[in-house]
Amino acid sequence: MLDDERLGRFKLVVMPHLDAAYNLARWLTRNEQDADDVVQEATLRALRGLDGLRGDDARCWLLTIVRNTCFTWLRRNRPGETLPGPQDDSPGVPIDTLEPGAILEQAARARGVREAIDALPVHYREVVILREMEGMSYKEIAQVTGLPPGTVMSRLARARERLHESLAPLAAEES
Amino acid sequence: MQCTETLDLAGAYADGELDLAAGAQVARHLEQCPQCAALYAQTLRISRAAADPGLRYQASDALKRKVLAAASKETRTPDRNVWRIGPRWWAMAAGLALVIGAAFIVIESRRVLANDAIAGEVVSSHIRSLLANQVDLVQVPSSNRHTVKPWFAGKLDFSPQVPDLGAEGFDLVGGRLDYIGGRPVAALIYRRNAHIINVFVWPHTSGPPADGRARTLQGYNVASWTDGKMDAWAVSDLNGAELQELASLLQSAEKPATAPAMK
Repeated sequence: MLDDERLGRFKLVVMPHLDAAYNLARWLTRNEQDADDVVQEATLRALRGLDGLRGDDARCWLLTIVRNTCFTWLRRNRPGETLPGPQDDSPGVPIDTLEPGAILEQAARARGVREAIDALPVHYREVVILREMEGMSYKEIAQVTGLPPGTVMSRLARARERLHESLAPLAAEES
Repeated sequence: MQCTETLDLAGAYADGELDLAAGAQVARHLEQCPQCAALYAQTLRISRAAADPGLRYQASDALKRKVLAAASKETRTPDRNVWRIGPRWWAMAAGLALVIGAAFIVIESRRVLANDAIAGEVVSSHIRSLLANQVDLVQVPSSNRHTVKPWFAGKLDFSPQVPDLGAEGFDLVGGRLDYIGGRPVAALIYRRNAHIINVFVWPHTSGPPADGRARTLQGYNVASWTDGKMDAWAVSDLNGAELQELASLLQSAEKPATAPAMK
């Protein structure tokens, strides 16, 4: 591929998804500067690997690179965060369901939800970001994270449970 | 359907990830089980809350500029990009190199073989000319180049240069017709001290030209050269360095070569 052609393709394929890339990196690193660094590294990797993209979904492809760059970065800089907890993928136990009248929507106003997501272990956080913010299918999430689709489903369920647990008291307080 | 199953499936159902049959099963269970129905409602609420566009982070303009600048720089650093061509191009380049290499070897070996054959004939002819006597060696005995050169006219389809190199220590002895490589050629005989030197000259018409390589066959030194129009071979028991000296002298004297047949 010629250099000009390569740069043109980069602008066409990578740049439209830069917000998605940054959003994922920002949520996974939980830090603005680190997210900047990760995105810059990931986009360079994407540029070098442009030939590997053949008719795949460009966003999925780019987010896979960003996700892997994030995890490499986390393992190097915050190794504790990437260790899966012992009960991470264990089957769910039915929990006490929230009283129907709970006004979660009120508590769900940005800050509470933001903090709740930030508090999730990174393996839960990534599936929440990809599903809720990027609207990705389980199949796409499986591709980006390298997890089996079944694990994507159970992790997402666990993650939502945890979000519910941390948001429920907040909802109760506000009511 | 068990509630434990529904716990995961309720999420998948909310996300529209279940096929029709499984979806119908979950829907039926949700109707019958208030606990799971509440769980489902909870999943929808959490999902909606997390999907709030206000939660998204956006790449700053500064970051976008940095990314673009880095990409431009990366695609414009030639020495780094040279090695980043695709595997197909590497394969093609390797194949091309192989073909060129093979062609080179074939052409080169053909050239060497053809030249080796000529060198053999040159040495044989030289020995034959020395075996008998001066009559066989020299058909036109003359140290005068103006006698030797016209002698060839009418006997050959080309007119060889006959330089006078007496000043350089190579005395012209005379000339002779000979037959090398399937054609009549001019043989010029020079002498340095007691050493007889045969110089064979003919126009280059086909096949590989003289390769200029110094050879030693049966104790005789052989030198060759070409100017693209005329091939020349010198053979003698003279040492290789002095024979090369003669070769260089003749080569510089030969210009311009007269080859009427070629004009």
